[in-house]
Amino acid sequence: MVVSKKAITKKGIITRYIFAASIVILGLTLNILNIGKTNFFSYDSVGNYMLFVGALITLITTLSIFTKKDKIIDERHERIAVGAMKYVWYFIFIGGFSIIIADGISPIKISIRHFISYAMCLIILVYAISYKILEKRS
Amino acid sequence: MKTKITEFRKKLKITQEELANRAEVTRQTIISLEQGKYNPSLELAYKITKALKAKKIEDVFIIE
Repeated sequence: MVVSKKAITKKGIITRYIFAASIVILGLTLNILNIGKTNFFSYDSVGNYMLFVGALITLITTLSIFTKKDKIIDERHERIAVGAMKYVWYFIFIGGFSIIIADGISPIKISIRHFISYAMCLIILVYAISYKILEKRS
Repeated sequence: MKTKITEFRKKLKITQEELANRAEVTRQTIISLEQGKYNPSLELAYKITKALKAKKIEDVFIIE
């Protein structure tokens, strides 16, 4: 564990931009070649989602260059992040089993697209709440 | 873990912010350390001891 490091590094920024560009290129390819309609079981909006995520990563990275310029991350933050991740895993396992049991009792009629969106939002929410609680405690 | 960071800091007449800069951590971490809420790694304990100009780690950090 490193005692401290800069929140924003040159290497980190370049990596994020490359990742965002790759997603945008992939999204454009899917849309232009019209792959989604035939290969993703009618999920023709995958390309659009990828374009959206790519643009979002680019925006967040650009904003963080200006806002988190002098921010440092020390070992306490890293330890809190590890703790928050632990709670996210608990949530995934407990949530997963609960869904299996609930589906067994009464079949859940929700589209996979909505389910993934809700799951992602809940995971991010659990992480953010756990992080804040652990930060206050330590 | 108990610490004598506050006493050493007051002797040196430095603020939490200054100590945080010397030890290359955030001020929140110094606050947590002073309140005994956070147990530092050996590396951080060494950095803080050095920043406070103490002789030994045991002079600043006391294991209960």
